[in-house]
Amino acid sequence: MVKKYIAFALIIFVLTIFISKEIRITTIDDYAYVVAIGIDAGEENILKVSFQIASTSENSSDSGGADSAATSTVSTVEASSIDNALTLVNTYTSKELSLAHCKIIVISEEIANGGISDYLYTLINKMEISPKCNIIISKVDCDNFLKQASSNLEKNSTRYYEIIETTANYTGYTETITLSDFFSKMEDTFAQPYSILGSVNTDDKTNEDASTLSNSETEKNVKAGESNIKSKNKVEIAGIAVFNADTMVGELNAIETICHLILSNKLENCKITIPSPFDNSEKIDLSLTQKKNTKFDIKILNGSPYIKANVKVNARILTMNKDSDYLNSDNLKEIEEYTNSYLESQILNYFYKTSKEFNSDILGLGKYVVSDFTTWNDWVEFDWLNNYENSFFDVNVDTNVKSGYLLLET
Amino acid sequence: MEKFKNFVKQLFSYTSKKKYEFDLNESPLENNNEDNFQNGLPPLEDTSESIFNSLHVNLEYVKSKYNFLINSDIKIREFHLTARNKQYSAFLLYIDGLVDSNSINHFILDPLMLKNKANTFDNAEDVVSTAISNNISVKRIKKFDLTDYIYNTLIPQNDVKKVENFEDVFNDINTGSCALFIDTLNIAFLSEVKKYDKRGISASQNETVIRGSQESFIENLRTNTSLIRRLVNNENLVIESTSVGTITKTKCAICYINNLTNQDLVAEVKYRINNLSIDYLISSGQLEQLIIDNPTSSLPQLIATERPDKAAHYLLEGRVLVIVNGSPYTLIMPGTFFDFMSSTEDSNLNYKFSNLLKFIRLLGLIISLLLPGLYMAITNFHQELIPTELLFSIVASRNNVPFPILFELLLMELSLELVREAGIRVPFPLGQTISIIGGLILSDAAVSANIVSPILIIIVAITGLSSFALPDFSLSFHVRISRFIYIFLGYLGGFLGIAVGLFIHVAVLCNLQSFGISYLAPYVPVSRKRGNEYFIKPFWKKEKRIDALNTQRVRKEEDISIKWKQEF
Amino acid sequence: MNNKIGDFEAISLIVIVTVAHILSNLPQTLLHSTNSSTVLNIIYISLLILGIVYIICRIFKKFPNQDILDISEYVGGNALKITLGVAFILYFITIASFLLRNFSESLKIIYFPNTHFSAIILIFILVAVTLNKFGFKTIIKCNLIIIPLALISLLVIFFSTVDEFTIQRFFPILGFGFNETFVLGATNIFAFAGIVILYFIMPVLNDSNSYKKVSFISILISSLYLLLSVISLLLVIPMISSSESTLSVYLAAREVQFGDFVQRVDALFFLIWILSIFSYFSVILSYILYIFKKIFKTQHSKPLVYCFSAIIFTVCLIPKNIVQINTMSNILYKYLSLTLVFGISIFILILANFKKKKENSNG
Repeated sequence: MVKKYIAFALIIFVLTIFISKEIRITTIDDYAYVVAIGIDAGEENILKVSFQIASTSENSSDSGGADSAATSTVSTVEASSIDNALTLVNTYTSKELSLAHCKIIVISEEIANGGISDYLYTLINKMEISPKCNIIISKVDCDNFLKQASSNLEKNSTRYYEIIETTANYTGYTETITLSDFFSKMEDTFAQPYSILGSVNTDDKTNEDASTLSNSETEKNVKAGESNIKSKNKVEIAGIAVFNADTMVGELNAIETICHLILSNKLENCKITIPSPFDNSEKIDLSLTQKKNTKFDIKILNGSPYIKANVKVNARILTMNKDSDYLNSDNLKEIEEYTNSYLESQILNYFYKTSKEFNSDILGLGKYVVSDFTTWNDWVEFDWLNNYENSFFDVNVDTNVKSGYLLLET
Repeated sequence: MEKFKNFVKQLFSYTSKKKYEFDLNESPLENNNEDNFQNGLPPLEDTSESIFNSLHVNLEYVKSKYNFLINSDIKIREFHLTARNKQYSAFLLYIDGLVDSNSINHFILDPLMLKNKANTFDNAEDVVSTAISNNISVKRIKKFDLTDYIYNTLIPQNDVKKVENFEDVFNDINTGSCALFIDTLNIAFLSEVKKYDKRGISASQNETVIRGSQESFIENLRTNTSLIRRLVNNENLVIESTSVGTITKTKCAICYINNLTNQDLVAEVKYRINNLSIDYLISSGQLEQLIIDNPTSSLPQLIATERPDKAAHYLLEGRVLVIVNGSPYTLIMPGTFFDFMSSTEDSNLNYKFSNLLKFIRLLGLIISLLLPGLYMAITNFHQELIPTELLFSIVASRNNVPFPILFELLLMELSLELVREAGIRVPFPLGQTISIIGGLILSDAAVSANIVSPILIIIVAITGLSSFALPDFSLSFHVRISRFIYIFLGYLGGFLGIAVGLFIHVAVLCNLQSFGISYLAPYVPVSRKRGNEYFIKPFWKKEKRIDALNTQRVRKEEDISIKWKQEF
Repeated sequence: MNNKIGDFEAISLIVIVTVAHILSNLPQTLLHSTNSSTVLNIIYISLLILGIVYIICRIFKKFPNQDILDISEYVGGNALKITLGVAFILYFITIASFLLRNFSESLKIIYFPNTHFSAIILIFILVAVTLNKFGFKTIIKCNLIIIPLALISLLVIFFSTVDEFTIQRFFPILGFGFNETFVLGATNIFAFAGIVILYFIMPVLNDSNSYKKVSFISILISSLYLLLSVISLLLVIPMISSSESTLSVYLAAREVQFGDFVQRVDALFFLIWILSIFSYFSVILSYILYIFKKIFKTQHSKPLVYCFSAIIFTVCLIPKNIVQINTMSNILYKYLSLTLVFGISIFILILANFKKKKENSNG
């Protein structure tokens, strides 16, 4: 009996020594939560890191009419690395910064052009950062981007960040890319990484496209920051930034992103505009969904890949006027042919852009070729990623125009 | 120096503790040909014997059938019956507690034993016819039939019948009749003398059900045994009587079904109860603490119930029931963890409703045990687990609270315990006031005064509600104690601390044994022939008894128990 | 008191060893050696191990109710028995300490950056000591409860990451080459070092005829889970074969996401994994005590639990940095298992078989 008590006391004594010196128990009150990180190029080869810190005091239920602009603050600091920047910001915030709820990582175009693998490896090495946070390449300064990131539809920025990527589901102008996606594509031997393109839209436009509002081509050629929206929300996310290994080599605009989504079987719903077969001056809007997965047939001819793609989409007609007659199968067939040729030209344009201009296989077509090789060394010798620029393409689109929506014939 | 030596020796020497070992699974089953009966139930014993002529044989037969030597409420009254001035040996057989003693005394024993006009012989003969020839008269006398004589004249009872086989005798005895056996007669007289307490017995206050019976045990031992007798209704139910305590000599009854229960279990129960040297025993709770395997554990190891239907159900499953005079709570042994999670309602309702209720109880157990600990662990170590919006609202609501989370949580838990304890002792008119004070003032005002955060109130309230969902009183006590340990473990070690607590908790549960069966039977150790899973099957599919009990009769239903549905 | 255990308990004893090593770094070690042909390799070594286990069952059938120590006494007398026993004790001590050190370091990095790793190791050891004071039966029952949880967690990880699979990562089909996959890859059989428990389990089985069934089912379950964990890593994370990381299955668990609401559930998986490691460690410690009791014929083995836990604690503290931890838990473990569990033990079993045959034909 005595033995038990002595042993118990000894254990408590030893544990107290261990615990009191070693453990610092921190609770949720001791942390300030960073919701976004921005990485810019500072002067003289050092970084300019911005942290968007959520302030939670105005979120209480009592203050119903709180000003949403005050729900987060952006702190920018120049340092030689992300961790040094964290330490510097920690010196003047009262709470310790926690990256556990970081939603997006914004990297400026300048840094992306110089290679971002160092920063990514550092970020992946941190266990706090969720691999599901999104990567955005920004065409403007990151602190500007973060400061403008707010909406009058959501009260705090985290919700805004969570929702804004879902626009990809119904516009098709961008795609949701997470840190783990990007990182795994960077390490992959049969794909190249790509990222979301974002920017801030300034009101004073010197863009010549602003005058030709009605040109439908212009709308489809937009990338982030170039659209002619006038709104309180300034941040735009549209288009894709294309990388070769860890360096940014180009951008894709809206219609090219739609082609990318169709080819990678990630399209949920998008709208395209084709010239009307019945009247040259008119346009028809179609809502596209994917009918079947795109089939690829890739052969290696004389060391060069010959890539054939078979695309199948379903379309429904959005535009109606007083002469629309879509119960006639000939009319539907004509629309289908026009859509096929339109999509084929856009997809071919996309293919040659990624292959010849960028030499970046962001679709990951290498995975269809790798089954032809038996050992790893053979595959590495073939060097698919550099061979991609020698590729030839052939596209076949099969559209099935189903009908309009509520009106079938007027 | 010697003292120091002894101290060091005591500290570092090892003496193995003699562990009291009793395991039900060691004894082989006696009826191993149970498996041969694929479809049918094994037959019960044959009781269609006819009554013998000799009283002595009848007496011996009846004594063996009813286990007279060990059964304490089976009464046999031997006496001499007077009929026509002749004396015949006879005996009365009845069950104490089910019969009206006054009726027996006045209307059976009195006319039979005492000499009165009816049973004295007046020398009159029953002459049928007379023939006279040659001065010799030959009378034809009707033969004296003792049976008719007694039946017609000597038993002034309103409901008497004559039976010729023991099956009828036993059936009626079990329901409260009294049987009269007479030497030289191969029939018995059964008279209806039923009297037992009905509906004076009140409804159970602590174990309420909606569709079950509304009777509960009372303090009187004989009334309680009669309640059990009525429900079980079989002669193999044995109720042995012993006494505990040198001063009070409190009567205890040990009940079991003779050809069903494992005899080792019965012997163990009797051994433990008969080997207690205490001065007095007042309640069954004290007896429970004296006979369980592990009295230092806070887990309940015997089922305590005040419902006779629950007690009869467990008796018929092969367990042993102990009733203590003066206490309405009876003890059922052995008890497993999953028994404490089930209520009597489960077998009365459709199995789907019962399974839903069982699922909710399981959820209640997990929430009441782990929710505050998990909250501490997540807010201290694993903030990334909480969705961002929720995290911000928690932080915002805690902005003005000056205390750390641990202090807040302990404060609220302790005040909840205080309210609970006060609620038991408060006089009835003040009951409502206490709930208003507890609910409104404590929680609402505390939030407005920024002493605690609203999210914590919700957590503590949900925890308290879940602990009331547990059907067993003792188990909820155990959960209340463990909850505080989990709070500290979660605070100190996050999920590592919670895992330590969970693992040691599970180890304690696995280590516990209750009267020879594992506490987590039938899941651990795994047995193929289970009979008592947590999620119950429909009543018509519960075919086997629990395997760990090693009962003598394993099957309780045929494969197809609903015979009317079977096609011919 | 009968110490017999049933079939399910025996199976879970063998499976816990494989599960614990899967949770440590076993899939990554396999992927490093065979890259994209790991699935082929695992199927190949599963077939190999089934053959080996069949041989072991045949040999054990001739020695009912005896474990490998008794058989070694039969072959080489007391000396061989003691030598083999001491070898097994040292083996158990080393693998338990390395796994514990690896796991605690990872736990410290991920969740407890402010705690010294020795405090975490001490917690594991305290729990295992407490459980050993309860007794062998309790350890087996706890193990039986925890194994299904661990297996379900691995299944959940597999099914939640299914939509991120790129099937083409199975190619090139032969990985580094035929030689590396099948000839050198046969050394990957160390992944099934759980069969070391099979050598000791025969005397405590309820029904010795079910030894064959127990061994085959446990090997099948182990190989299934090895396959699942390797597939969910290989097809999701391409960098797994080019870089080293701590706790490979944890990386797969970080990818689990159910909609927008439930994210970062790796902490919940950790709760289950810590329970499995507790269970594994208790089992190993109890086997150390069992072997010691058997070879030195002591009456009580329970007080020795303090000594052995102190030894394990000190061995855990030996590695200085991650290089040494990695070397020990990946490379040293591999060669120790191959030598002792697959090399020496099977050699002794075959010797015993020959000796028995000779005796039977002579006598």
